[in-house]
Amino acid sequence: MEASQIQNLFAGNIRRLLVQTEIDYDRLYEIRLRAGRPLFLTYDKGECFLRTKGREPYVVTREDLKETLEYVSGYSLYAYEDELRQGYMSVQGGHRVGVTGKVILDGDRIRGMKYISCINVRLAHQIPGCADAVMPYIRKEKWTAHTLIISPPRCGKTTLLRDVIRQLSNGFGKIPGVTVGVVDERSELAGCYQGIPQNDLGMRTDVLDCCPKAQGMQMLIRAMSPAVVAVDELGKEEDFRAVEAVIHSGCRLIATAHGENVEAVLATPFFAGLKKMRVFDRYIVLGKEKRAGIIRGIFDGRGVPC
Amino acid sequence: MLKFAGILMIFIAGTGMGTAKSMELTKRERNLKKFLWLTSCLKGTVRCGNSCFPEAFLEISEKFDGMYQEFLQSLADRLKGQEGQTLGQIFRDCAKKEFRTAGFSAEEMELIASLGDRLGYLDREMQLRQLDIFEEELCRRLDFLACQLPEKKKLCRNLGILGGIFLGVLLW
Repeated sequence: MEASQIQNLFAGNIRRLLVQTEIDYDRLYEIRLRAGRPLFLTYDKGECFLRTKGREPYVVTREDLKETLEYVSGYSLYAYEDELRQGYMSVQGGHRVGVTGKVILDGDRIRGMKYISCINVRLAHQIPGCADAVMPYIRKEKWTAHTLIISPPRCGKTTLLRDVIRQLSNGFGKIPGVTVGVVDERSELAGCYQGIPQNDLGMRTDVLDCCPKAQGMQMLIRAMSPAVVAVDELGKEEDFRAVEAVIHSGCRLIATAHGENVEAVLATPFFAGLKKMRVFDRYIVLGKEKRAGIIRGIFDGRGVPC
Repeated sequence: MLKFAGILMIFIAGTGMGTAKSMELTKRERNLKKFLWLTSCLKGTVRCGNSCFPEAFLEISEKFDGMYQEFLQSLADRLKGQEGQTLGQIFRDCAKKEFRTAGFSAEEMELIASLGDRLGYLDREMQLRQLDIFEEELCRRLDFLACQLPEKKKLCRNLGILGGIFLGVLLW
């Protein structure tokens, strides 16, 4: 991970401290700025303050937040209007910048946000090979399993999905690669910058960047004839209609969902419908016992451990 | 004979100076028109591509050459570099540096340099509206210049010729 790319997202004062401080960016998960509060660095094993030269925790000011927001948006907050309504922006490298502040409503609709008081930079990590253990369960020579990766937030779902896509696309061992279509609604998987993926998703992967999942899945099926369609964080009603379209088109689906375990996810109304149809052949559950990305279990379509 | 040659040289120099000044006015009009085109391109990129400014400036730079391309590229580079300055400051610096030889009047230069101060604030609609207002102002200046240009050019040329003749007569 390029340290300067991350440091340049922040206001001058913070950037200087980040440069001076020794930080292992490969283990860093979040950088959290709150107005009038210390700046937190969150690692996989805990959190710490960013400290000044005098070892005092650096306290974030409103100006820092404003300046950071300018840099994060490339002086163009208007270009992130739609994303800001959802509370986050995706930046070069696939990192996600979450913001909170005062929400401006237009009737029932969120129009925007002002008085931004907290910025949380979640760093995207690429761990090539992290899917090695699950690949034999997902892909055989002439078969790919419809797969759902389940975990609570910050347990490595997206990182695992990214590596699964890469391995499906490139092929692994004696298994040949297949065409993979990725709908990257939040630019997290590929981390596209000006249309070019910054993360390695494999040589046979087509990425539809910043496209709503439901529409993107249909577009990919129609236009790119992928063997596998991959999406991150299924959850909206329209996503499930698109999932049906994928299944019936003969493509295989690899997706992720928030949840503690298979039962909890399948108990939600939408996934219950998919369960009834026995859509998924594999459920992979991740946890965070010692570190993010621990595989708690791999289950077949009936929920029986493989 | 030498005296005659000197007077002829002075006459030619005077005429040349007048013509150069007149060509400068044409260049000024041409450069203002080019900046108007740049504004239209920027508007299109913001409206259709929803690109952020560094990206938009870089995209547009491919359509231009010379000082405009240099201006757009240096602007994009500096915005990407995130040096701790505002968009307005960076825009002003780049405009003043790259358009030194564009022949703009002080007022026109100020108008162009101030474009950065108007951008980057609030939503897309606001950016487009600001660019519309800027375009209108630029068009007004172009119209004004177009009205005055033939007369001014003629005046410059004639003054050059007459100045040359006057100095020639003085030296005779």
